[in-house]
Amino acid sequence: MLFPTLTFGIFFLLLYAGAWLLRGSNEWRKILLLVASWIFYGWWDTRFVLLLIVSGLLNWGIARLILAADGAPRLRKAWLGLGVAANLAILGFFKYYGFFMVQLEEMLHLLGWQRDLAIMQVVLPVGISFFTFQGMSYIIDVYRRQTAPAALLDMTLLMSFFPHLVAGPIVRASHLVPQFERVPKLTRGMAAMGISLIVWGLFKKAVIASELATGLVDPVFFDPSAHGSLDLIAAAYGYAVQIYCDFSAYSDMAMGIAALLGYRFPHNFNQPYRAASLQDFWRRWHISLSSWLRDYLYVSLGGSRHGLRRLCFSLTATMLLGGLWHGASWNFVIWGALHGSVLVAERLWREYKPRTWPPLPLWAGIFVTFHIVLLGWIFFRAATFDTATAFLSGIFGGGSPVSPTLVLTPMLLGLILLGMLFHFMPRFAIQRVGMRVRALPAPLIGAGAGLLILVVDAMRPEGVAPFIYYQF
Amino acid sequence: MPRDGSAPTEEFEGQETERKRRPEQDGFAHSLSPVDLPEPSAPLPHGLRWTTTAIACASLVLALLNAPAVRSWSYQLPPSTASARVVSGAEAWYGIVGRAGLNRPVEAMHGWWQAARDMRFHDDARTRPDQASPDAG
Repeated sequence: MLFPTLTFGIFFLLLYAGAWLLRGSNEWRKILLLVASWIFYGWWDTRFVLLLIVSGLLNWGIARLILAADGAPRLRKAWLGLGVAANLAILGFFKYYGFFMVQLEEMLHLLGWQRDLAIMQVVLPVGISFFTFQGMSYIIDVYRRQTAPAALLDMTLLMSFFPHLVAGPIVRASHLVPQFERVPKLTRGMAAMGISLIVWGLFKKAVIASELATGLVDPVFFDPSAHGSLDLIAAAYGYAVQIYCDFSAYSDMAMGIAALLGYRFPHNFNQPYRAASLQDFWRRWHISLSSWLRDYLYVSLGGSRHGLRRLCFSLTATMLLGGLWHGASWNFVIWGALHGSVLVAERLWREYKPRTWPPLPLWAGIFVTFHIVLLGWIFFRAATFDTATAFLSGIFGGGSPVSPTLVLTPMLLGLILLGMLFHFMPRFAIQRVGMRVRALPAPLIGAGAGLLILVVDAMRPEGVAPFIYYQF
Repeated sequence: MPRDGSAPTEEFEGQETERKRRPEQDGFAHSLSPVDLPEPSAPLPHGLRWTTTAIACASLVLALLNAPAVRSWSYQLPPSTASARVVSGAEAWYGIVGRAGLNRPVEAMHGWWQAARDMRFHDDARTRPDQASPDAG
């Protein structure tokens, strides 16, 4: 079930009514939300609802065992290790089994083994990376005594709650479980922000991201060699705007939907292409993932506690694994390696730059950072390494800038510029809109929101493509 | 992770200076969630009633003015007796609001948007890849 569809709209209206009618009983309200989340997830494939339930039970059980072993540090650590290993095994099987088997087969062929391996075709459950990371963060937080243990219902709902289930943000137990402990109160401010974020997200996804995907990015990345360098450059910029508008739209809508049900999700984006360094970029892009990687991977690898060399290793390894988290593909590894090496270079530059040298002007920092990110996106989007290199040689190879089949149109160019312009709006513009909205009469806001959704619906291409991050 | 189970005290490279740097220039910078707004100067009561009314009005506007989308959605449902009833209901509704002229705004907007999409940088009657008709050679 996709957010910008009528099916989801009907589902949400029924759930909204049910959830607030049940506000007299928090337990029944949570049971309704849990069952609704399973229906939402089962809309793709009912088999994987069982995986979601098993994953919730597993993490709840491991957390209980860690608690029960209080006073026995080795046993606590062993339970934690088992829990992390079990989560990684689930993720590894569904996400990386095929990739590693193919690599193994190629290696065996190189060594002279001529027979093909029998490799199962494993279907990737939607959002598995998000809910396994969520489960792992819960047991690690319980182990570190940073979060109180959750009741079974709360833990299962935390992992299954449909607004963040398939594409984040990764909401931690310490943030959401306390909110589950009582019936939430819906304020006009929350509702105003919820409505504003939903409409804003709908516009970014249905108009900008979908139009750029179908009109420019997909056809150019499908066969870069058939396009001139102008289309290739436009597609690279177009993808940067598309992935931002697509993913941030999902986060906005998830936050808005959760807000209308009374829950708060954390920030996930903050005008990322305005970053003046890659370090700054990771403070602004997919914030819930970057903070997850910081707290559970970078810190565990040693972080900055053991000198500069160890820090550089921790950074590179974190970004390589962060790349691999997105999928089993060498292109994601290259993307992670690029980000890791530039982060290391920035760190070394800060460490060893002569003090008399002036700092880079802000505009130059933004320009350079954006283009490093853009280079990474080409590998991130291209289906194969060969496609990425064909794309880059098409841009830099000195061929004709304009092919006879120019794909770029005035509207697509306008949408790219509009998507970039969003990064230079005041940071809290949407909150300022929310403050105005909450003071206005409800019928006016309802009619206004309805008309805006109508305009978005008239502008969007036929059908709705799944969100990019569903595949992760 | 720390052996004593305490909270990690250091920062990821990508996060290190965020808290130091944050200018706190207004009330939003402290919020944990984008939906947290500063308290209003005067109380704004009846949050649930206000929200429900807004959602009901938005749904009504969309039901009245976006019948083409409802009709299109109904045809995409998996074929069954129930979906056949939904299709006939959506068709009837499309007809009712159409006679009142309520389908015209969304259809006009769609036409304008389509015309804007079809603009090209050069004279080229070529069709975009996503608009190619199935029977085109």
